[in-house]
Amino acid sequence: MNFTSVPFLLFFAAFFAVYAVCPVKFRGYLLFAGSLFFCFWNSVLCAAAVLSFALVNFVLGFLMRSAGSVSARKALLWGGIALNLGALITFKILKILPLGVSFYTFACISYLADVYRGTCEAAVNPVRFGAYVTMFPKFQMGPIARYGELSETMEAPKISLVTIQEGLRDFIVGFCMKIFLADRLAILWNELLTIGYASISTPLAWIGIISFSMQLYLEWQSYSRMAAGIGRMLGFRFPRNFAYPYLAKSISDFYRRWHITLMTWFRDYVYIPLGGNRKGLGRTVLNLLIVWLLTSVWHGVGYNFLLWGMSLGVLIVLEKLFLGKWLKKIPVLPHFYVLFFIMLTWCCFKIGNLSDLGVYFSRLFALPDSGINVMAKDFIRVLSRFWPYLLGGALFCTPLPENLIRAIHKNWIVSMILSAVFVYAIHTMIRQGSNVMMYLNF
Amino acid sequence: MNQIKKTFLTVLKKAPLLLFAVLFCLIYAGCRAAAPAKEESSSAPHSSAPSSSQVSEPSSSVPSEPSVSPSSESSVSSESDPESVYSDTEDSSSEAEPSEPEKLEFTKVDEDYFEDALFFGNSRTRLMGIYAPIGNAFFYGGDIASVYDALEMNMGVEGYSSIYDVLATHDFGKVYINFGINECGFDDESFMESYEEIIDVVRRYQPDALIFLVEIMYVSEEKCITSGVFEPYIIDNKNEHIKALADGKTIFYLPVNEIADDGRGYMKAELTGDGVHLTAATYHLLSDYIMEHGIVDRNHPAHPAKSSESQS
Repeated sequence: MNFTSVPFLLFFAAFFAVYAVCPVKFRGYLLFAGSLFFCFWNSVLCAAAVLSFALVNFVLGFLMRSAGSVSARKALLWGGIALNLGALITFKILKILPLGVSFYTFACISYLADVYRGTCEAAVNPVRFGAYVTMFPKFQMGPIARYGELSETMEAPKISLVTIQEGLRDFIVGFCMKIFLADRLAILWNELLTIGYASISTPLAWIGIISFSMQLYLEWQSYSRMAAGIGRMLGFRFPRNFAYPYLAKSISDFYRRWHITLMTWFRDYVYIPLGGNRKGLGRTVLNLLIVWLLTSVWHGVGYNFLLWGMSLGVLIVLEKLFLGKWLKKIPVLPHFYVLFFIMLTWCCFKIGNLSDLGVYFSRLFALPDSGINVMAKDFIRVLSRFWPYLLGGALFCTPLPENLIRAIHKNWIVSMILSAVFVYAIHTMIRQGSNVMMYLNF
Repeated sequence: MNQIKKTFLTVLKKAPLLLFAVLFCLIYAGCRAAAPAKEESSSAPHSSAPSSSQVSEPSSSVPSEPSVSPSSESSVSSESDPESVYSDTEDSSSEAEPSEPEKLEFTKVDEDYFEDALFFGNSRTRLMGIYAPIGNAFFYGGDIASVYDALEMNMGVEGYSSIYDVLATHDFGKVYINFGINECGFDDESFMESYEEIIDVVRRYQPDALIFLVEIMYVSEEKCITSGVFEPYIIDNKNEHIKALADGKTIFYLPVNEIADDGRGYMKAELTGDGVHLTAATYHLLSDYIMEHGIVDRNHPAHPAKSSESQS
């Protein structure tokens, strides 16, 4: 069930109605039941996989809690990591990815590591732990919340009219962002596919990659907003996942603002245990490249993902070495530097075939003899149809609209307008369909 | 009553979104339930995706049946009346009134042949007009056009608000009709009813024109799997109905899948980017095919040689 679908809206309306009247201490159990229903709705494989992960990791954490020696705890930790990662890698190689597996695998590994370090207490209630792993608001696309961030709330999640208002606000904003912006921008890329990469003009190639960059962000941001909104309505505060990354001044800064929970996961559970930047420059560089290698594999098994990840790794290393210092001294230009390289790396992300990627780059930079049957003014038609979405997308890449909504949403007239827009978004969704989230089956 | 009012005011103050969102959703649901049911397939896609994207949902469980490759014959015969075809011969005896009709066969023509040609269809027509036009042919194609709305649709050609304007202001010798991919989610009966209506309108405005019915081209295998409605047998069924309209005299069927079929009922992957359309680099295959499948009927009023013959 996607968030932007009628079945989900009906499911959540019914679930929330029961949740709101459920005694607080039983809400964790209800959440587990609802989340299991959500998983089974997707597929039996999805439900079976997540239940297996939840059970195995609960047992490991429980055993770690009662293990006497450090070596025993270490063995359980590494055994758990091997099991989790082994299962994830197997799924990726077989290309049979149960929904959400990449997210809850990392959540489970973080749980084991935090229990080992003593950062959080091991779970004693398997149902509440199961609710943490399967929690439907964050199941499909994160955020990758740590157990310690949610466990206390899971004991007795409290809701109020305030949490409902804030949660609904975030959900509606995310929902509308997805339907009116992300989905519309996705169509623009279809125009390029229709024409064929070899035949698009250079302006259209740039419009395409700008559009995709915005679309990717808006997909993630809208999903994160909806997840956070639902979580808030249920009494949970999810960690923030995006902090307006296109305002960054360096690639390093960008990835401190993009998919924050994933990047901090790699920082806390890979980079820092490897030594971080505490073991000299050479080791720091190596650690960074290892992190980006793993990041690229997490996103997908393919040369394009490798190219994407390692390009970013190299840029971040260069920033660490000398580039970062220059960027801090120069005004404005760093923003263009970030946008330029980020968009080029998104090309690698989007275009899976290396040969097609080469063709696209040749069109981006208007290499001689690179175009076949190119219509020089093809971008005019595309711009004339998509300019509202490009403008809207650019606006929502900044904090302005969301800050404004946050400031005024409690006014009943504003709420009425937001609700009307929400219903219009539902109507649009039903009438025209909605793109499947591109990261589904991650 | 006071309690209800107090609760209402509290909710209005602290959670107005809850109040209005639930209220408006209920009103909307009520309106949808009360609205007359429209005969609209929810899986009916459009061949390109401008404002109405029909998304790649996970494939349905309907397995694809073995495709029936269209006939690769270059000669045209009408299934309904195979003996009524006319042939085109070079002999001088054809200039006299024949006692039996000549058999018309496809023949290669040049760009001049298309001086008085109209291409009317969906996005596949529009894109052909951009990337592989032929001579000075008139292209009138709409991105989401279907047989159900094409007659009234403004397809964005300046000066023409619908096909009626186009037909009323030109004399066409040949009209190429290309619909069907956007209607795969609809039943054959209603599709053919509207398809025939289009032919009737064209015939009414252009009584002397030769009409070419362009076969619905397959989609790529990937598109077929992700969409669930472009199965080869669905396209084949519609094509069989379209083919049956060809009489070999003034209406001809163009089996264009010859150029793109991979032999399994799918468009060859290397010819398409989005799985539905040929690309800008490969559309010439379609125009080349059309130029190799002209009909030259010396007895027909629209024959281009008539003008030179009458002058000699």
